[in-house]
Amino acid sequence: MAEDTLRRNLDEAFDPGTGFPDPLLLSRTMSAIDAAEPRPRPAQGRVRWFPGLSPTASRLLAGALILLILLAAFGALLAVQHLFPTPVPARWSHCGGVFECANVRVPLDYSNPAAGSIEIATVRKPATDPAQRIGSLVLGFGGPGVSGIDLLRQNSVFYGTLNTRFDLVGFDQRGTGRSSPVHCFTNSQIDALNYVDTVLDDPREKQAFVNAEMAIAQVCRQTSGKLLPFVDTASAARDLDAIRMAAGDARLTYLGFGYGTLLGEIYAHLFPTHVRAMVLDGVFDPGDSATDMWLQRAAGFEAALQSFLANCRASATCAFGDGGDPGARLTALMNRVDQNPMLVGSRMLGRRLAVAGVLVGLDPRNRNQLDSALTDAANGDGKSLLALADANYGRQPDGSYSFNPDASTATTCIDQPVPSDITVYDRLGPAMTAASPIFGPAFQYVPLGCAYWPVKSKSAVAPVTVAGAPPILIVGATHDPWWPYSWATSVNRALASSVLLTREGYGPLSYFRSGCIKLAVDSYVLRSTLPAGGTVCPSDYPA
Amino acid sequence: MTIGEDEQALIARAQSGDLAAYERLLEPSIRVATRLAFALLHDRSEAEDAFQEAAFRAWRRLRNLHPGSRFQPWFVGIVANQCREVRRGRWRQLIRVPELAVAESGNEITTWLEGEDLRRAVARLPHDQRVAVLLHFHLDMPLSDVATALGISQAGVKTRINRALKRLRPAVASTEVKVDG
Repeated sequence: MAEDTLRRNLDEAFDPGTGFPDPLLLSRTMSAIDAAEPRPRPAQGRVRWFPGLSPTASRLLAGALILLILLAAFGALLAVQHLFPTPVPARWSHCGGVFECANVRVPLDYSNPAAGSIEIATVRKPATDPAQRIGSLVLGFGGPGVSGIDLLRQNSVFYGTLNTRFDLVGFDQRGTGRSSPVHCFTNSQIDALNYVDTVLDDPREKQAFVNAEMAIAQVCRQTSGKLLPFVDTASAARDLDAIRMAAGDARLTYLGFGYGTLLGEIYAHLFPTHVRAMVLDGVFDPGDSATDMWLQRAAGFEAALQSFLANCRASATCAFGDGGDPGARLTALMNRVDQNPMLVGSRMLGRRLAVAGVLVGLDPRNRNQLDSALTDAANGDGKSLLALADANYGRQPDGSYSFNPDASTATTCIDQPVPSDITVYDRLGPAMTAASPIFGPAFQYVPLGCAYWPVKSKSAVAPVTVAGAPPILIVGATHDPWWPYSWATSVNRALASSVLLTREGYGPLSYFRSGCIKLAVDSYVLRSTLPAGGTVCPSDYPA
Repeated sequence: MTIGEDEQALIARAQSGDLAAYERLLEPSIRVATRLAFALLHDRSEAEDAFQEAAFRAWRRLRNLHPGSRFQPWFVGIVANQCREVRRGRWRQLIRVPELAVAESGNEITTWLEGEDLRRAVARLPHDQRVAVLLHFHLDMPLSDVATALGISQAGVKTRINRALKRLRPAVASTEVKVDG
């Protein structure tokens, strides 16, 4: 058919290629409209201070509350605290289009509430079907160091099904974003720190690494010292309970990813009866030591790398396999950038950034990009590999960072005890190299930075236990390199009556990588229907 | 084609300022709108920018959408106009900085060898003909929707498509293709 030929030719001639349009295009567009055009919110979504009460009763209660607030302003603060020992629903105000924001005031130090308070910045996207609204779904995006507010604004479209009946709530964990951030370094200083190699294969590199870690600790003590003791995840879990109350929910519905699962675990430990439903996707296991954690991650990334290399060897379209064995070429490339970092404009691609680029590229969605980035780098052009590394560190094209490494260090160091003797890390060498010749040595000394940190962790390496909470849904992927499957199984054992849902495949986290997982999670969150124990889901794409 | 009640409800909500409803209206049109923009602009990021700008304009003009009208053809028309403005802007840029244009066309040749003749022929068509051909043949849009997008009658669309096809024939196939009417 001539018409079919025309259609086919047009399709070929105007094929924009894969990854078009950007999956975030719609949410970026909506955020831009939000930002450009704040306007009144439609009537059906009005904030209800006292759900379940008639408008008259609600107004009377609100009036009483205002009176109490006035009393507080005249020094009757203690009396009010006795009347309302827990926070009242927050005042949500419009902050761009469909989003509403509120600051939730919490004690800086929960062991001494009189010592002062901080505000936790939160954002919510109201349920799109208000008549069927169940409550709020709080999202814990982990990091630590990412802004939950920014991530919710950018990605709310991915939770469309849940958003029909839940307000989506995001927040900046204490120490990050707009919630009293730990802030030690400028963007260019972070750039400089990310040039410091973590593979300490000669005394000079070892000294440079130790000096950098000590400098980070010293600068953070000077700039954010007063905050540092209080940015632990246990305090963040108490903040989460304040957010639940501010959202007006009797019980918490929570979906946590990566490090956000630790927040969920600790919350469920502290407030088991306050949980309505909890999903932990990409589980963090506090029962694993910091050093073993990185050993397992090295092994996980090695498995992903071997899968990439095997595919590359077998595929005629893998360009990196053209000039010899891709494994040998990768090793040669890493040695090359270690000896002579590659100039990319005014920046440099050294081994640390090259390894970071490979970590991102091994995500099944990025493997084509990794192939071309490695091919370009082997030919002397490091631009694409550096772009992948930038994605790992959240570095934006304008040189700013969407990820706060200072906050990440601050929370990680206070949560997790680490050995302070450097020889302990030295002795890990053979096991790390055996786990992965490329990633093992790069991860070997990662936890050492916390040994110099101004605040020492008081936590123990021990599993979190939960008693009295409803069943928690744990999601783990068999080849998740960041959140190894063994952590999901051990947390599943530690949390009474939790249910493990498994995804077969590579790449971190599972909710966005499998329709089967998404369906099971949505069904549990919406209807409290748990999948059968031992359920295994496939990934949506070759993984 | 019947008009879905859901879409009409969403349009009404969006017209009263509900951005979430507008988001749900836009979502099914992303593919058609961005592909049209890419076919008109030959540049992925410019196409995404054009989509964003058109989405912004459509939001501002949403009250102009008559009751009972469908959203997608109307919105696609705004996208097409937005792309026409971008192309006009390019022409001005070409006059100001000719050396940049030469460098860019050099890249295009290496990336787009396949289908280059067809792309050129489509690019030389008058705007309405180009949009009509792309919407109907490349993006499978019914003629009635193409008419709405271009703001002309269905007969007018057929005339434009038939004129366009004559100019594409050498680049397409030797057999006749004709849209009835």
